[in-house]
Parts: sequence; structure tokens; C-alpha cells
Amino acid sequence: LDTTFNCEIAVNLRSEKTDQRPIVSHLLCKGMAGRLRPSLLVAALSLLVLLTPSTKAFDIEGRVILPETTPNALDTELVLSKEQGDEVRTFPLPDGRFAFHNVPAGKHYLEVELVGLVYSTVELTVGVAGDVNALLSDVINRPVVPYPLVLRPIGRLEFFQKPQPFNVMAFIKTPYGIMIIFGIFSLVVMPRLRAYSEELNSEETAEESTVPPPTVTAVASPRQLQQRRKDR
Amino acid sequence: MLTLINPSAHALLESQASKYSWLLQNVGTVTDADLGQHLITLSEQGVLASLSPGDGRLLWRKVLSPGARLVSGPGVAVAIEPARVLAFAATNGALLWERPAVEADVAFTANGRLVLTAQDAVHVLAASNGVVVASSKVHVDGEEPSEARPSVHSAGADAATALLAIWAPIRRALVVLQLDSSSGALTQIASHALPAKVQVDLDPAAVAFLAGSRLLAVTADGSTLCHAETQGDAPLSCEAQRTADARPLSGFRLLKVRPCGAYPALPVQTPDGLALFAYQRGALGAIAFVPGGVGAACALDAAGQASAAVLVEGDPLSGPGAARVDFLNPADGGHEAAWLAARPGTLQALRAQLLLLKAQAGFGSAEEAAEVAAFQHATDDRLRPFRDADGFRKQILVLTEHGWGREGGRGFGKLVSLHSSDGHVLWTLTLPRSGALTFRRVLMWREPHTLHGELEVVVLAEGASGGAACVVDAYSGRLAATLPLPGGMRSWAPLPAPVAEADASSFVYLGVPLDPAAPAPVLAVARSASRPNAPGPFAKAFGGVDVRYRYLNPSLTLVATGASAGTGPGADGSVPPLTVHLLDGVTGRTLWSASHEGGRGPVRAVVADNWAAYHFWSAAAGRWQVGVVELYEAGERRVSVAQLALAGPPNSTLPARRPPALEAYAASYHTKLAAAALGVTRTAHGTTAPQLLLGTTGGQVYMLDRRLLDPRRPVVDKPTPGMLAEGLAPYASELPLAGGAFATRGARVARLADLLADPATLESSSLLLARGLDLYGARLAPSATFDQVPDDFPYALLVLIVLGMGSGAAALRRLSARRAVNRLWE
Repeated sequence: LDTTFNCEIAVNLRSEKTDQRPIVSHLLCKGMAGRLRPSLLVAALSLLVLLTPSTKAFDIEGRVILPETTPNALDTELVLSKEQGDEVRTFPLPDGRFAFHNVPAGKHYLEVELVGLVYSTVELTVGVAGDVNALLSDVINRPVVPYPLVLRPIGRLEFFQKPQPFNVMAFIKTPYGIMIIFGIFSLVVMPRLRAYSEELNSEETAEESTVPPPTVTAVASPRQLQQRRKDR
Repeated sequence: MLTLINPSAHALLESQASKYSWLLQNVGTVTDADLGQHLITLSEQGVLASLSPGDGRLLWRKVLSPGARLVSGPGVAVAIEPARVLAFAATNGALLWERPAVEADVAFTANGRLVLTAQDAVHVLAASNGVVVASSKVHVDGEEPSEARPSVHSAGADAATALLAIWAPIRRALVVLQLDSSSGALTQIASHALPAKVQVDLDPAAVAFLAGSRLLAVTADGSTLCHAETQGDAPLSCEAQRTADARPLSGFRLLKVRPCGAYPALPVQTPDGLALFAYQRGALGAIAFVPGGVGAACALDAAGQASAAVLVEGDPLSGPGAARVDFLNPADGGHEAAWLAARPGTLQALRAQLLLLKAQAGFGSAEEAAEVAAFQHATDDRLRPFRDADGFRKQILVLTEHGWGREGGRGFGKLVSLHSSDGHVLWTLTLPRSGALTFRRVLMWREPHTLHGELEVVVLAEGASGGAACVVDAYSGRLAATLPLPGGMRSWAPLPAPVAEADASSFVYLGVPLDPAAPAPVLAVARSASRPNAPGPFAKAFGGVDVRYRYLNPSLTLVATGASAGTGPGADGSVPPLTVHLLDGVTGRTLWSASHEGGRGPVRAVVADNWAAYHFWSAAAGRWQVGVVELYEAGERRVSVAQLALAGPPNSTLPARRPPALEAYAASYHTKLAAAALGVTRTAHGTTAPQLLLGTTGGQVYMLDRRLLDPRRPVVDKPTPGMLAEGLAPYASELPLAGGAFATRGARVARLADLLADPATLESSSLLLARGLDLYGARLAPSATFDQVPDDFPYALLVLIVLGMGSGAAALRRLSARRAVNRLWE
């Protein structure tokens, strides 16, 4: 080139995937249009196109598996965190299919947000030709996910403690159970212990009462003793 | 992924959740609404919602991009975002189809098809599945191809046609095309020239068709409204618009035309607020001008027909600032008298109890159930509007910002007081209009030393050249004073402790000036969240024997610098690492710093006691990470347990100029949770083990036990006796995820942005407020409710046992006496 590029170049960049290359809408060189040969213009344009960063954009498609028992499946959101720093959110169709449009080449991360279910984060590498490589970034060994994506839940979160059925032994171990046991012991066993001692005392008293006290009237006379001997 | 299901200390039954937590779901400041079988609204915040026309109850909601527009048809609600169009089922909000379209406009034809214009093309779609039936290029003879999308309307000559309006800049005319939705053919039917007296061109996007075969258009500067018959080539009739009080309007734009009753209502957005016009016999007349945050909607009559235009206050209870303050002492009046007066009488209570029994038996009607619920609400002790001994009842002051007045930098603000038990509104204060200022924060101002003094908060209105501070009595919502503020401040930082005066403590704030020459982008700044009078334990026993003093500096500040997400390599081909500094806020001395190669923003951070935690994105690992650092005093102040027991606590005053030598322990962990905010639970005395609160981008709040974030977790397979004595778990790179540790349980706070945790009076409890588009309040017990009687405490069983034991003892005594007498008689 025997000239300097003192040109004002307006480039109309399209991000739709149908437009594979940027479109140069006009080229205006101040005071040099007559000196710029067509071949050089073509070369310059080719160089410009080659040096311009690719703005190819593609669609990312897939399907998120929602268990039939998921009550809040309609609240599902998918979040694509792009390498460029912005974030795009979308919703799946009722059958779980989803799509992100105009995703540029690069490394992006896809997450499924649904309260109660846990999904793996998917690392998406979109090539300049539109090829998509996906792997689970938070799983050991980072397994590859086939494309189109099928995202399955890896766990369910239980937010609430399930009410436990009544357990007699567990209840007995509680302070209330111990109180009840102590109450029963106090009401049933303790009185019996007291009753037993009373009965023992009363039996002893009764035994003592069967032996007549040594009164004067009880002492046999000598005539009575002789009569007893005769009877024998 | 390592997913540890951790047996949680926060176990809660589902039936208990509503007792300790509440969620206020907002739809935002309504900018558009459509009526049909459902009331569909779209707000400035991009919330598409379906409301019950009868009571305004939220049926379903989708959070879209701010600035979206709404068009609804039979059974379908179509949201138009800047780069795509989404169609939702009006009944349940399920996504029907989605289509990329830049700057699109949409209208339904009478035969149920959807006409979509985007750039220079028009498409006819099946509304139920989005399949394209016909397409056509839009072109006006004699005009250059333009990418300005046409406005579209369904008022065609018959059910299968639609009208399109496109601005022709060369001939300065508004061209009307008729679209045949079956074939996609376009026919020009009118061309309306703009009068020469109107110097400014029409805004191509601000064109609307009215039902009476007329169209409306607004100039690009928003000062003139033009109208004409749809058919024919008559020039446009244009008038400069004025408000009801004859003030000229400028900068307004058309929102949407909605047929509402006999005359279609036309809401226009103005910098001063909303003006609502009625189109009547070919003329325009202002029927309402509301200089505040209101939306417009229509009321449904009993037949389900729109009959009147009404104004609906669309003021989301989620704004830029929030604070939690105490209630007034019940002895000092306040809301106490009103609450007692509203209590139901004895007969009402008896009737409610009977209705409750009837409902429990399964014979109650819906009205009776509502009456019982109202009775329970009116008599619920948790909802009393004054202080309680446990410190659970507080006011939440939320600062709102009106969307309507926000454009042009003008801000209206409202301060709304909510009850911490269920979020119901106690009082509302509309703050004075303040020109180009925006109300951003609400802070503590004056706290009385006794229960009887006045508690004041301050609302900061900030602007480029200055600001204002509005001092508000927190008990009554009365505006006490307005003070000027200097401008050019980035933020206002509180001093660690308030200044004690005779009868109250005053809070002091330092203005942090703007610093455009910062060497690296600051990603996060976090100051200590610990309360100066409750710093927590001052020492920790390593291995159960080696006691170290914690470095308890209330001025501890974390600053994170580095590259934010999406930052490419610089001139030298490298990306700056994420660097985290812990600074002494008094002297500015760097206490500790660390760099994370590959670390990126956004960074969320929290500082409390002697530790700090920060959450960031690791581009190297492709994971979210949580870094944590703890500071201890080193050297001579290392003492044994016996020395500590004999010597007692150390002097808590730290020498700022001669700081002690420090030992720092740091570690980082992977987490699956993407954080939108970090916080920490705070309790009255700081002795309850704190929990890290992690607000996720998905709108949940996760409570992370501090022991899991201990930077001294050793990398061993088998714990040593010292570790067991201290309770140190072996290091694992992945933080656990357990359902029971989600403070929000099954709730979701849309666009979660901030976490506010305050102590209750009971040491075990901390009060959480998660703030975003929604508000979520909950009572947390980080270490279980050790100082409370559990909810399921069987009071009835206890009474039964005591009564049973008493009556049994009495009966037994009687039996014993009778038996003894009988024995004596034998």
C-alpha cells in the first residue's frame, strides 16, 4: 500500500447466526478514494474482515428433566452466565425443553434454578464453528454431557423435618415420660411398699395377739395339772 | 460433586414455617396491565404477574428483564423484551414459546393470531405455539430501508387483518399499512403528513392505535401528541400537551392504549409522574394526573367487563434501604391503644371458637374460615405493635423509591414501617420531594437509653452536588427534621460505636468521597458487622488447651480488588488477580492480604469478630469459592486455660498505633451456591456460634455453620484427639449442602440483593430480613433454641400429669386411710 489508512470505516456488525461475517456497509477514505486501487481495497477489506473479532452467535438447546412430583416445576429458571460477564435467564417449556439464543463462542456456565432440586452446573464451551462441548463442572472427574443437553437432577433438598410417628420408648425417655414413670411409681409401687410394711407390722401384731398374755387366770392349778395327766 | 447431607440443627416442621417466617411478594411498579379473564400486569422491574381481579392475590409471577412490555390475548400473555418475545399461558404462567426478536412489537388479531414486527419484517404467528404462519418485509415506497420497527395494532378491517404504522422520515409522514394475517401481504392504506409547525420528528416506537379507528403518535422529544383518522391521507393534528393545571408537558411517552369502559384510557409516562388521558369523541382530555408512583388498571364489574379506570398504587415494598428498629414501649401508648381497641370482644371470641370447632369437624364454610383467620390474626400475640420481653417484635423500616419519578433523576421516597412478625404495614411516610436527589439509605440516628425516649432514624437522599438527610421518628413515622448533606460522597460509613449523650446515643457517619483515581477496580468493601458491645468470645482454645486471643477490632474492614466477570486480558496479556485486604479502619494499616489467581468478581464479603469471609468466582477452577480468614493475637498474649481463668478477660481497648502482632489463618472452599449477598447472624451477647448467611442468586438464604468454614480444618484422614476436643472437622474442599440449612426453606426472594440480621433479646435468636424485589423475614436460631421452651412443649400433658399425680396421691391417701381403719376393725 502506498497510502495510509486514514479511513473512516463503518462496520455494521450483526450478531445473528445467519450473518456469519460482519458486513461492511461503507468505506470512506478522506481525500484518497482516487488513489486507492480496487485490488488494494479488496485486500484491505479482506484483512479487515479477518482481523475483526468473530461475532458468531449460536443457539444452545437442551432439555431439563423435571420429576413429575415436583410441585413448583413452573418456577424453573435456567441461568446462562456468559464468558463476557453478562447473565441470561430463560424458562423451560412445560416438557422441559429450553433454548438460549445468540450465544457467542466462548466458555459459559449453565445452571438450573429450582427450589428443592439440585442440578449440576454445566460448563459449555462453544466453538467458533458452533460446536458445543459440555461437562459437569462441579462433579468429580467432570464428566462430559452429550449435546443437545439433558439436565437431570442429582439430588432433592428436604427443607423440613418430617414429623415422627409416636414412639413409646422415645416418649418414656423424655422428661414427661420420666415424670409419668415416677408418678406411677409413686402412686402404685410406693404405697405397696408402705402397705407391705403395714401388713408385716399387723401380722406381727396378730401373731403376738394369738399368744395369750401370761395372766394369772391362765396359770393352771395343781388340781388341773393332775387332771390333765389322768386324761393323757 | 460431594454433597454432604448434614444433619441440621435447624430442623423445622413444615407446619411451623409460617409461624417463624413470612414472604412479601411484590410485582413492582405497575406500568402496564391487561384485563381479560385474568388481570395480567407488567411492572417497571420487569415482573409479569397474574393477579386475582377480586382481591389482588398473586396467582403466578415471572421475573423478566426490566423494561419489558406486555401484550395479552385470549389465554396468552406476551412479554416483549429488548431481544426476545416470550408467550406465557395466562392460566398458570407456563412458557408457551419463545422467539428472539430485537425491538419487537406485538399485537393480536381478532382471529387469535399474533402479529410480530421486528426490524424491517412482520411475522404472523400462531399464538399458542409460536409457529410462523406468514412473513413479509416492510417497505414504504420512496423511503430508504429502515430498521425502525413498525408499530402494530390489531384493529384491521376484519378479523384477519392488522394495522401497522411506520414513520417515513423522507416524506415526514406516518404511513399506515394493512396486513393480511393469512397471506402476510401488506397494503398501504394511509399516509399522514406531520405538520410543518412541528419541528421534531415522530418517535417511530411511540405510535398507538385507538379503537375508534384513530391513531396517536408522540414526537421524539415527547412534547407534542398527534392524532389522525386511520384511513385517508389527512395530515396529523398535533397539539402541545399540558397538564390539568396547564403546565406544559415534555418528555412523556406512550405506554399502551387500553380500552377501559366507554372510553379508552391512555396512560402516558411523564417525568413528573403518570398522566392518564381519556379519548373521547376524537379529543383528548386529561382525567387524572398523579405525581407519584402509581400504575393504571381497570376495574372489573360483576359481569367481568372493564367498567371504570382506577388508579392502583404500584409501590413495591422493596427499595434501596432498610433498617430494623425497636417498637415503642407498651407503657408509652403508641399503637398499643389502637391494637387493644381492635381486639375482638368476648362474644366474638366465643363465636370464633365455635366456628373453629365447626371447621375442625369439617362443616365450616369458606366465609367462616376467613372469619376464624381474622380472629386469630387480631388476637395473635406475635402481631402486637409494641415491644416484647424476648425482642422478637420489631419494626422493619423499608425505604421505597417510586419508579415513575425516577426517570430524569427525580426521586420520590417512601418510608414504610412493617411488623417483623408478618410484614404487615404499620405506618407510611411520604418523604419530601427533593429535586435531583435519590433516597438511597435508611440508618439509625438516635437511640434512647431508656424505654421511654424517642427513637429516630435518618433517610439519606444523595445526589452529585449535595444531598439531604431526613430525620424521622421511628415510632410514629413523623418527619422530625431535614438536614443538608455535602455532595460527592461515594457512601456513608458508620463509626463502630455511637456517641453516648445524656439520654440517648447518637450515631455518627463518615462520608467516603468519590475517588476516581483508584488503582484497581474495587469489587467489594465490607465492614465489621459485629456489635461493639457483643463481640463474642475473646479467646479460643486451639486443640482444647492452647488458648489464643482473638483479634477483635471493630474497625476491621475488607477490601477486594481485581477484575470483574467478563474482563479480558489487559495490554500485557494478563488479567489482574483477585486481591483481598483486611485493613484496620482507624489507621488504614494492612493487617492481611491474599491474592487469588484466576479470581473474578462479583465479590460478596462479610466481616465479623475476628474473621472475614468472601465469595468470588474462580475462573481457573470454573467454580464459586468462599475464602475465609481468621486473625489472632500472636506472641506474649498466648496464654493457657489456667492463666486465662486466673487473669480473666483482657483489656478490650486496642492500641491503634502499636497494634499487636497477628497470626492469620486462611483457607478457601468450593461451593455450589452463587452468592448475591453475604451476611452473618448476630445475637444479643455474641456467645451463640455465628452462622454465615449466603443469599443465593436464586433467591434463597443458606446458613453455613462457621465450623465448616474454619480455616484450620486440617488435611488429615483421621482426626486427632486435639481436633476432636476442639470440634475441628477434616478439610474438605466442597462445602456441604443440606436442605434443612436453607433459612428460606421453600420460599424464594426474587432478585435477592441484601441480608440484614439483627439480634433478638434472647441470646439464641437472630432476626433475618432478606431484601430484593421481595421481602422475607424469619426468626433464626443458629444454635437451636436453648433458652426457649420448644414449640411442641406439651403443656396439656404436663398439666395432665400434675393433676393426675395430685388426684392419684389424694385418692391413694384416702384408700390407705380407709384400709388402715378397716384393719383396725378386723
